[in-house]
Amino acid sequence: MDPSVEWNWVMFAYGVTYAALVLFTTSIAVRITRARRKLGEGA
Amino acid sequence: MTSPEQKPSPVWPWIVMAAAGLVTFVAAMTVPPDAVQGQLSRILYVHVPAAWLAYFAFGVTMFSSSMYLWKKDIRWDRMAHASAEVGVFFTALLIGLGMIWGKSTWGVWWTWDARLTLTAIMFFVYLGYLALRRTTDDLEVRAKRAAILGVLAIVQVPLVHFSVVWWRSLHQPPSIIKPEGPDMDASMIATLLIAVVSFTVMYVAMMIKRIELARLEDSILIAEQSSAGPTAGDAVAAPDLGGGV
Amino acid sequence: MTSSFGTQVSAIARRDLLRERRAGEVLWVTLPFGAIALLLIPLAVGPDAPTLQAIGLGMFWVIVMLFGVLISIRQTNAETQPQRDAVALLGIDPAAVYLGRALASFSLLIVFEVVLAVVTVALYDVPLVGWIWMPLVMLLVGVGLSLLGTLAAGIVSTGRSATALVPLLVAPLSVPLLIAATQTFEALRLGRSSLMWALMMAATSLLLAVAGVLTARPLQETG
Repeated sequence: MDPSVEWNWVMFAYGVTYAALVLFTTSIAVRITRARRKLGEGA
Repeated sequence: MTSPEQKPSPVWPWIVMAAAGLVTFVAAMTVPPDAVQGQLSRILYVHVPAAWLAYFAFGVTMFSSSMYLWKKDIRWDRMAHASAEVGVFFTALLIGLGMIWGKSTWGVWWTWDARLTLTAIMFFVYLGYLALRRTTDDLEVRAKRAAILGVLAIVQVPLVHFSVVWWRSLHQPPSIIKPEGPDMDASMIATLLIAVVSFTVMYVAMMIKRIELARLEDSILIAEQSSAGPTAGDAVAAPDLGGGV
Repeated sequence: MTSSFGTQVSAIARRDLLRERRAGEVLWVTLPFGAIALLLIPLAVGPDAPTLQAIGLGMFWVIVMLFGVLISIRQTNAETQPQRDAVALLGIDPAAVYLGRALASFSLLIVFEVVLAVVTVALYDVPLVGWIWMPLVMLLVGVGLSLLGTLAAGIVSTGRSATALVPLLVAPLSVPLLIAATQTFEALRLGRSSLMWALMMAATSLLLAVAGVLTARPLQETG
């Protein structure tokens, strides 16, 4: 396979991986913030 | 027990996660490419750690479930839940990366080899576990049911593993599709090790934050349940229209 | 109550079967549902005879796995909380309740399998190679699936969305049974030994029975 095509696949794989990691960790952070706010005001 | 919302939420796990991600990326991009697979070998440096974590998180969920049944401490349940959610993430990532690896090296998105099939099955076991946790808001009932499912999974998953591996071994295609990938030289093995260790550190940091989230959500549930009393609207009844409805 | 474990198991099984005889859900609902699923497949895949012959047996087992579970769900759902409490208060061993339930499910599953097998042979023209072993395989699958289904239904119990959740829990864990059942006939067709597959089904069932018995009391306490 042509090396530039190979690099495309590699970048695709890493793009997917790191985008997924960022999205997942952000969702945890957002949920933590929401929960803390709810506990701060509700309880 | 100090209420969790009064302690500031630790920031260092996020920093650790970012650092681990960076280390893996640098290592994966600077290692020389494989002689046979070329640049595609770099995909292994995220694919293999994802696989390791998917299965490791599964094991942690099952172990924590057993510990909960034994010790009845809700913290074990939170750990099981956190690891299940992180595990689903890495399993989905693993399936995605597996498909990318398969398409780029063998030209097919799915190969029905034992490992990929097992990963897909495991994904659904995880989903079932998470779905079960949504069926009730009672913390102890939820924990006990989920833990029992965890134990059932421990018992059944080895059998699932064997049956799929035997099924595949009977239908081995004549071509040499080896999912393990290329034979590796020292620099590749070292990079792989770095990637696996970094991702494991990332997993630990993720778990710390996810368990914190679980604790907060449990506190919310407890607060909601203890404040549940007669509501003002209870006194209003539907009008009797005399139709016998 | 000093009745033996065996008596308790058969009492529970008889009660569940009596309920089924009155309600007739397996006979009139689940069975037709499975049969129509077998009918839908050729409509989607095309009536090409060789294709249908090749996939027929596999489709049969898949439908048994997915739809057979409905039998175990129905049993748990048919029971009200006061009825469950009454059984518990009578001092009946929760493990006996589990095994009795599974036994009733098993009996109904066998009927389910037999009728659907007839439908499959008719619609898919499946060659009856090695079918001398079919009763044994049906038995082993029935045992394993009823143990698994009853356990899964017990875990979900009164939780929300039980109807789709129990099949979701059972499906991945029923893979050993599915593969073993289909591979038994593959092996027979190719003239190989299917002992390994029979042992796999037996091992699966044994492990499930143990898991079910051990978790019966904790599950009962959760309500």
